[in-house]
Amino acid sequence: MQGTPEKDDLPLEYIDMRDIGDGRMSAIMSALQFQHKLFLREMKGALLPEAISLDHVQVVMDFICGPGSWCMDFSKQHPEKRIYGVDINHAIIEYAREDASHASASNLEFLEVDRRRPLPFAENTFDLIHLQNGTSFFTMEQWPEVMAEVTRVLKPGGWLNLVDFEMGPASQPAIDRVLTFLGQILARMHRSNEPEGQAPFTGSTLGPHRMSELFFTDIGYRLYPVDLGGWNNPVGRAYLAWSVVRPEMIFYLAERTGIGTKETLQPLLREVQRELRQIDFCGFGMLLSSFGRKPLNR
Amino acid sequence: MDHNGNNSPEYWQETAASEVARVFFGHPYMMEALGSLLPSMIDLRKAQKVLDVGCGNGEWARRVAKAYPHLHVIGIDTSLHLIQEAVSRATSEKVDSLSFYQFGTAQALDFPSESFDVVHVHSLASFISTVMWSRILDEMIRLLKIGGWLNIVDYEHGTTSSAAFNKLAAMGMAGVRALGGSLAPSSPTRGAAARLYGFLVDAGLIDVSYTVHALDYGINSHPGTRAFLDDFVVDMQNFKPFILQLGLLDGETFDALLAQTKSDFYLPDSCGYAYLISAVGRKEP
Repeated sequence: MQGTPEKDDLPLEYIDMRDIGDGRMSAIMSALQFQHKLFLREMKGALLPEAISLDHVQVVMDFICGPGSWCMDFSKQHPEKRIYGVDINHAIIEYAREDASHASASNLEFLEVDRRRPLPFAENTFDLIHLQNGTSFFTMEQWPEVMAEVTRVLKPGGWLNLVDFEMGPASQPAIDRVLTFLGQILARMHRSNEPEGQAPFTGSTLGPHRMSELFFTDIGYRLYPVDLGGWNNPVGRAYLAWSVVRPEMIFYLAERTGIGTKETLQPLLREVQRELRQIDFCGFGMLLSSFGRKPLNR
Repeated sequence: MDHNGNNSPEYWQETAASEVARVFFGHPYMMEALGSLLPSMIDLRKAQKVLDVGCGNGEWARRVAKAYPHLHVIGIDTSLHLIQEAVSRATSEKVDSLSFYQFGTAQALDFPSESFDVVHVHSLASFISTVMWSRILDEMIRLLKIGGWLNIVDYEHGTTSSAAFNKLAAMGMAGVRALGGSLAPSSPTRGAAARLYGFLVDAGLIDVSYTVHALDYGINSHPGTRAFLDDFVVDMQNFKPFILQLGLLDGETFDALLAQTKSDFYLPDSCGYAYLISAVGRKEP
């Protein structure tokens, strides 16, 4: 039993933000399942961009699968394909396994992997790899290695789909400040392409470039604006509260990165909770889905 | 402070930068990113008069007039040369249901109350000071007929795969903030786009809603992207004096960043976006 990951002992670059949360793993899992529903709503119910043809796809990996929302949906839509949900987080994989057993998805298997080792798959195994939230998970320095490893296990001509959310501006003053802090936190965690952390951007726009560096073909991306405000949008507001400006996460990361303390930030986060209930609240972000194929000749 | 009402803060800010901005925001690519000239709840078939405030070279007004020939569309702008350009384009395209007027920066909107079915304004944040928002909104609402629609479109920078462009954009935002042009207390945003919805609610309009659109900078994303980026990099050059004047960058660094941006934007794997927000509300009976 690996137990709870010792996040306090981990260097900043290995912190998994899903581990942060007063020991209430189920709350974080719910938030991730909720995020999946929101993303799916914005992508008009499509699990993949239409450019990805599934005709010859047999074996699929959902890398950093979290509670397995995407791979469970995919396995149900495609009972003839073989799906692997892969994550580095022991508690999450346990949770996903249990959830999948209720859904009795026989074509879906969950695997826990060690992020310090190569993926436990042979070269040229997968026809499709889906990687969601990778930019808030891996540091800028880790990406070349991640891309090399993902490419190794992809079949020639196999598709890679990187899906990430970037927060945009919001209307109210306290959340505006918290998003500024978040930008600095992400920069200090090396999960930002804004070196000085001017804004909370995680480098999702680098997806196509990361693929072209490895000579991928058929590279492209799709943008899906995500509305998080408005009077009739409880889903958007809840996503902000549970995932983007989640208080426990901000407190912990602010202290670890030296941006602020729980004491100084608590009043601000309380104010954010209040702002999220205001009728004139507005905020939005962008979901970016980039894709490409491993070259045939490598 | 001058207590003479006529010398109170000017309604409109007219600088070289704001003029460039109005042309930038009137780019056909922006109109395409919005998907339609106006949000779907505005029915122009029964409308008679439409006003475009800060119309720039008249791109939007011309499109509306062509699509709905029964309308009388009026565009106003503080820049004489943009108005001249708007007039000459309308003349050469033989659109005669259009009128354009220049008006002064210290001027309220010189039209009778309740005279328009739709008042449209794009990128208001780039040509008014932050303190003038509520006054100008009230003024535009005054011009609306009962039940008429106010439609406001604004822009907020997102992010791109070009580190050089992101740096230039951050400097541009620092400049806007230094000049008091940001509505956000701390984030590097103009702040207007996210606040439009609240402004319209606070102004007492009804049926207020908004839509978020992506302005895609990826060279291969759409057929029109390349032409847009061609104009965009020229526009960025026009912001150089503004950035230099504020001491945010020296000329050499600016030139190097712009050259790098130009080369980054035309790479096949370039990726980036901005946001366009279209907020709409109706004058209560």
